[in-house]
Amino acid sequence: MYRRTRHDRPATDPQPSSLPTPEPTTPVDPQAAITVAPTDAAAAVAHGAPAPTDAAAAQPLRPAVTPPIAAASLVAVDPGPPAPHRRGRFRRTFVVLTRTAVAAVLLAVTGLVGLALFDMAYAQFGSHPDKDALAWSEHTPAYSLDGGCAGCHTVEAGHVRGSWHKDLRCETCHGPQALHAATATRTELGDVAVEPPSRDICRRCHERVAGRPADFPQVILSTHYEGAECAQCHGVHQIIAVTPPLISHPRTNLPDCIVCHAPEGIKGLPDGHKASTDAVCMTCHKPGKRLELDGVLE
Amino acid sequence: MTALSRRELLAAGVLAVPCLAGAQTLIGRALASDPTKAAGTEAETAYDPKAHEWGFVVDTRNCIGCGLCVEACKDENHVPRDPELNRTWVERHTQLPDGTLLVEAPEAGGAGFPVDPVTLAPMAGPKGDSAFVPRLCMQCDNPPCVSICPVSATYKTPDGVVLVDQERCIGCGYCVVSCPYGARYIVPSGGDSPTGNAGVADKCTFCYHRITKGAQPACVQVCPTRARNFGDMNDPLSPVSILIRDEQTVTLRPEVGTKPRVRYIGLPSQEL
Repeated sequence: MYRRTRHDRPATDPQPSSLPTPEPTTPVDPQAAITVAPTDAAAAVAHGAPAPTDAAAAQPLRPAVTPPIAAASLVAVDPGPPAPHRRGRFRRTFVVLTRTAVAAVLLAVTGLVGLALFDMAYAQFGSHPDKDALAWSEHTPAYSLDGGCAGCHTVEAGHVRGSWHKDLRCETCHGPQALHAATATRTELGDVAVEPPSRDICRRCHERVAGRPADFPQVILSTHYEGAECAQCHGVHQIIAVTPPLISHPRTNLPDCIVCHAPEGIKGLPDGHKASTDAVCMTCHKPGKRLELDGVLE
Repeated sequence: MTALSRRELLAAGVLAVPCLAGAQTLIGRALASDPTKAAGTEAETAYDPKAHEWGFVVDTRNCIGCGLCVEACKDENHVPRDPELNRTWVERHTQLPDGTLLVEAPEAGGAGFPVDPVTLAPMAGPKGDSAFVPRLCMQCDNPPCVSICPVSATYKTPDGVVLVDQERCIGCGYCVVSCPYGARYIVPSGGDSPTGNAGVADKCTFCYHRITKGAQPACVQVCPTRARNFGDMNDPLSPVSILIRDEQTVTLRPEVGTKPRVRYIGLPSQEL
């Protein structure tokens, strides 16, 4: 009952599909419709015009579907000769597609304008985590991203690589590279210099402080050659472990004798000695030998 | 003009949907094809937050309390110089003979520590049960600061970092008091500021501008003893993955249910 072939109805028929249309079991003779509703303009137009493509065909039909003559018009318009309307259908499809395209373009333009207005007016106050995360990721770093100090400072970098500090980054002691880039010239070290490498730098890590791991190298500052600079014995970049020079004096990585044994030095000169050069000292004191408290060579 | 029947209008609509979708796809492909060819290298190196899951492991057994990380953080992120306002700081936890726990962080640990926690005098040797505990934002998986923010200014990124949109933040301070770890502060006016804004909340970002370029956070980079370890937990060979696999790690205050991304090794036994 709900199946309807294309030939049951003319292509130009604007009959709403939702209307319950009685399906004739046999095609009704068009002439019979005219006899039933002779004054119906629709019937006349439907049969008279071979290709009714405009409102002229549809409009007059409307009054025909009014209740008093509904049954008659339904019978009248439902069947129709299918053949002459092929061209009209094609043209109508073209019109429909054109309209759809125009409507789509209008919708797109309206949407874009609306989005732009929204972005300008309201959306700037909305929450935009993606944009903000991107902004955070674009901050300028102060510490170098790749530790690229060794490109220029090859000698120092080589010394560090051979030392106990081989796993340290330059910026751990010298501070952020950005300060260096901002202030340093060829003659001026700028803010990154640790000049001279003082106890204040070394004690940050190597002073004995409660809580430090027991196996970490650390000293009690007050009893560890107070007055001397760490680098005098331990070096600057070529930091190596130094055997405490209390008893024996291995001449490796040590400064001149008078650095520590000058009159005002850590261990002042005994009476009768004068500050001199290493060569003079070593005429009597052989390096590496044990020195008795009374000053007599062993 | 031709009036359309309902059926024809519906049919046109049904036809129009796949047509428009197809057109949009074609246009999209046409637009996308050129930029990828022109900037192919950029597209390859572009940071994809969904491809990472950042993690942080603090090995307190290695920490020597030098405080260089605290200084580095301030330099790197323009954190105010006020020692009360920090993105990261170092505490010393000492078990005193009477059983109480002494927690101290003079100047946030950024200038080192007095040699003795009680007398502040030089000490003859290790004494008591002391350990240094570096602190920072835990980058919680379940962050109370994100839940409580009334304007959605603080949020979680796909790679597991909690960030603050400081343009959107209204400075109400709810997040500061809601953080169980005290990891947030309000930027005062007149000093350094990470984004140039004052009166807004700020916190550790894992140095988001560094990790998105493949570098380590500044505090990790300057740490001389590998007490601070950072890496991608999706990478089984990253330092954090190896530490989490090989060592027993714990989180701070697990009872509050924040699921921190920062884990600790070797916390003093009395705190576990």
